[in-house]
Amino acid sequence: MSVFLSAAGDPIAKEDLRARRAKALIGYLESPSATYASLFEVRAIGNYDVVVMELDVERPQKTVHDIASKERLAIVFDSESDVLPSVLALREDFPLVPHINRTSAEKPRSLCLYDEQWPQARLSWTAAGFVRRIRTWLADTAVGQLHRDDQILEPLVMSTEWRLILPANMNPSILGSEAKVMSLLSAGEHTFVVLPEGQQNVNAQTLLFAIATPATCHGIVRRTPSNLKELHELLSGFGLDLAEALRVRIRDWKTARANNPILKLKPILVVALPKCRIEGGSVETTEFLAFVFGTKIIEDLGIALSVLSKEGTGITTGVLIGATASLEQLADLELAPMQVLAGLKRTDAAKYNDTPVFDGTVFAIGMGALGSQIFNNLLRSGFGTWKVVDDDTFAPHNAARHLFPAGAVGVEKARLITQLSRTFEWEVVRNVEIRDALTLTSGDFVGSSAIFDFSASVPVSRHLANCEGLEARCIAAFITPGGSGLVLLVEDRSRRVRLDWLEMLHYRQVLNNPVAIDTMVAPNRSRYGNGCRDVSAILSQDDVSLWASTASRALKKQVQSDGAALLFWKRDPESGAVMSDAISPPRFARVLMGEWTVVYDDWLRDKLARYRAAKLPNETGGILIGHFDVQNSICYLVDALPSPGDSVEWPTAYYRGIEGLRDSVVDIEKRTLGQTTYVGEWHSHPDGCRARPSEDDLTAYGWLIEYMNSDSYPAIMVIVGQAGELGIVAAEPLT
Amino acid sequence: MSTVIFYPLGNADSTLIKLDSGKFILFDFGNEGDPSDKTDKRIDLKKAVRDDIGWPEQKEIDVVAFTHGDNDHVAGASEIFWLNYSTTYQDEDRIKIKELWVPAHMIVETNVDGDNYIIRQEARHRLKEGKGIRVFSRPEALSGWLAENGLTIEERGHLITNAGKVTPGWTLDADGIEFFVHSPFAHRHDAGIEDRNQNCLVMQAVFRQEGDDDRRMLITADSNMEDWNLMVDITKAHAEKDAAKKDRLKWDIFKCPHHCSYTAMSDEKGETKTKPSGQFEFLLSEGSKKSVMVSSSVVIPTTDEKQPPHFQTYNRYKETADLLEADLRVTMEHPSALWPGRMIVKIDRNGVMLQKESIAAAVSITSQTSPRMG
Repeated sequence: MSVFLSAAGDPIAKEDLRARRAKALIGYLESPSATYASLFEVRAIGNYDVVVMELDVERPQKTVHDIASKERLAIVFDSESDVLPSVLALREDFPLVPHINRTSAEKPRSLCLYDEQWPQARLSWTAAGFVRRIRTWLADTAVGQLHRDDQILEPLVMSTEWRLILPANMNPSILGSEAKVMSLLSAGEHTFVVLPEGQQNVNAQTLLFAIATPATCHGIVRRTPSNLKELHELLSGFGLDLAEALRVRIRDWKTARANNPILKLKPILVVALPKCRIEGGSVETTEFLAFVFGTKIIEDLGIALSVLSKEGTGITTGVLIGATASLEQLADLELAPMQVLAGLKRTDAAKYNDTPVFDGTVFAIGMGALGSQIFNNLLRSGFGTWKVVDDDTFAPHNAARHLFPAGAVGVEKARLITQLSRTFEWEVVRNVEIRDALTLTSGDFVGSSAIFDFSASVPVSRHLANCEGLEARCIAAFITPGGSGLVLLVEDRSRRVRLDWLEMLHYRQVLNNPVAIDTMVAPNRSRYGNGCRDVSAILSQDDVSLWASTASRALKKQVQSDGAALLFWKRDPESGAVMSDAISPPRFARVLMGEWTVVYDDWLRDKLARYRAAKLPNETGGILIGHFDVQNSICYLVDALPSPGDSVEWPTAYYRGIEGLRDSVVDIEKRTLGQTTYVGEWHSHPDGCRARPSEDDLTAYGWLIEYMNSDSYPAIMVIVGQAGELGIVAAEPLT
Repeated sequence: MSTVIFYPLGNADSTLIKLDSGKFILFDFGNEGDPSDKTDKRIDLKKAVRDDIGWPEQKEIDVVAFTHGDNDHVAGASEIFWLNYSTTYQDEDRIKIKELWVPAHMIVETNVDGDNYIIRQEARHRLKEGKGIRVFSRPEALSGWLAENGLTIEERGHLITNAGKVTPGWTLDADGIEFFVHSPFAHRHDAGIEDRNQNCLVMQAVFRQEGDDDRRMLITADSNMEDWNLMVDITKAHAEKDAAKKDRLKWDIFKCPHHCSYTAMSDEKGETKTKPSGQFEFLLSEGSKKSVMVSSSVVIPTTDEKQPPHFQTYNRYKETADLLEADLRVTMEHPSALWPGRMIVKIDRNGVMLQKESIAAAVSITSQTSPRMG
């Protein structure tokens, strides 16, 4: 039968309990709804109320830790302040298991119940929930699942106000091997940062050195050592004779050179504990414990360890050979444990962001408001290794909506990116160039797995779309004019669908899709300089950060996909709610007409076929909406308008009317900020006729050429025949 | 992982075994509760069994075993099972029984009524048909009834399993479970062989799973001391000759016979603690560490009662439970006497474990109809 420790204090009547939560616990334990829990006794000591209860614990026949089917626990409540109640296991042989609090006394063992702070935990504290939590703690501990297999091995020492921060890439073997002297560091009041190699401070007053224990699988420290003697005793449990190891180390320093300056430095002792999950298993992690010795210097340690002696002058004179120090002397050397933190690694960053590591090289163009903030988001998840191109210099107005602070004025944005990325301990940026993106050629992109165009510049995306020999897929992200929308143009991996056509598909959405309608609004502009182009669009940082987040999230996903896509989002002007939609580009065709290329797709063909079918047996027609890229001689057919009401539609003839047509075109131009407009005519042929220009058509085409050429545009006529047959007549402009 | 569920039914039995393979074995169906009575804390067994097998996707139970015909083991069976012998018991709302297990007594006994009669008719029907049935006894004990029905032992012997045998159709390797038969058994004495035909079905179910030793459950029904004295003696005698039999009384899950009645272990209740017969003492000593002991009964009384459960007997079981660090639980007290519910025992690579799940109020409340409000 189990032997139980007595809880502290003297028995009292339940009515004499003072702590609110103690009363609540009693109330629960005595209620009929208390399953698997019963009250054993009530005690008090000083201002503490102690409730002793017995809990039924779920545990199988084979346990990892010896938890009994029934456990007795004392819950200690402070009646004067609302602090975390202590949960003490009273069974005398309650095992030493993970998640036991370090307390001054070893028994009774104190259960560490919550992985959140008490001010957080108490918001939802109920007596029933508390009992349930303890029972779960015990049940999970019984089967070894409280500390899950996939969890890192339990840290040995918990919080302290002292911190030691190691570089992310510090190889534990450096610290774990013999007699490595690390020079140091920048020091805050309680924080020591070990600088990465090459950045170390030569005037450091502190010496960091390390001693390793043999590999261990015991992950539990019962008490925090407060002096060197206690630390020595603690580590002897891990198979290390600390005092002797220190003696050897100090003797070596002393004999290495006369007046070795190391002896005057304040030590930080790092103890490396290689840990394995099971006895004899491979080392899985190396835990670092670190200790500071207040104002003591190495010499003081040496004297306490009887390895150095001190004359009346206070000068260390020699090494004592064979002197054995009593451990008691070491009790005078006070020390404080330090929390040891490692710098952030790229894989950690990805993990904290719940993002898979993307280790491709990303070529980013444009580090303006949106680009810099997307970069910032992606960088923090360890995403990609970057090449950055931007030719702009940080101006005062940039600080209103940029990642970088006002103090960055006058510095090239690309350079700022370098400065930021250097503060991380992995290779964030491979190189930056201060350069106009329009001068980039395919050779500049070699080795990039994706090109991110954040320039919000139509010329740049057209340049990329038409860049000869460019193999890497391009993805452009831009905020729509006015700030209420975000657009992502995603080329497919083989670059069949390119930025230019995706841009057109976006205009089509702006004309037809509720999620895109009204997202292109001419922004107000604000003048920041005297030049003609010294204006900046009014655009709130709220929108920039919103869309930067949306874009970075989508980019992470899109770089993993193969296909082309157009993604777009729209913010409700009132509520701020965001709608989104995405389309995969329909099958499309590029038709070469002399110097010019006409691009259209199945969506347009189907739309025209529907208009035609609705009017059969009569012919019908209307106008084409699209975009001329004169630079690259491409006409994109984006949309078509149906026949105006005053048109004449006969089985063998069609006269396109004008009713409402002008207003419609003006509206379309306005809604796409002039990016789409009238580009030509379309009409249908009846069943049985091919979609080829008739005599009449050719006459009409002459009329069309005349007008379009006068604007230096090509003339485009589309004929819709049976079963979706399209005939395209185009002629390049004569002038 | 296999699961054994004991239902809170008062002094009545029903135990469902769910195997990893998806097979179900149900021992007894003593549904004596009244679901329309809100103060009746016994579980609505018709609903519970349906829920636990996954009705309506699952419409069949692989084995339904009746340990004997007493009402607290068969009550309501005619309302839930599809019975082959009469169209009265055949509608889509009924659970089919792939194989029916009964002791011979349930075939041959006369003067029975109610569910006992109906199950007897079904068992007889299946035995005549020669399928979907297994009868437990010495085959010769059924020769009379078979002859009356124009049948012979040669024709039906394969459907009859004697004590000391493992029930055909279930093997540790293929099914992860086997059922060793302790009773009904025949008892050899000076005058010859005596069939103890009144005996109920007593079995040892053995569970095998990866990464663990075999685990054993004793299904003890309403067996009494005299039965146990003989069963223990017989088993020990066989174990001396056949080492494979030495584990046949061992248990990781023990159902206290006859709703924790003293008659299972002794002639006398005792004042504060029943003193078991030597053989029953041995049986208790065969329990393993941290095992589970179940009293399928009403709440253990604090005073001396005529009907089981008997607190004196419970006290004796408690002594064994303490020694073994076992969980000794009463079906109508689990998880609490106020709100009894299913007693679920899991068997996996860690051995057997009594589940002690405490369910948050929000979950419970939203899982049931509220009382009338307004």
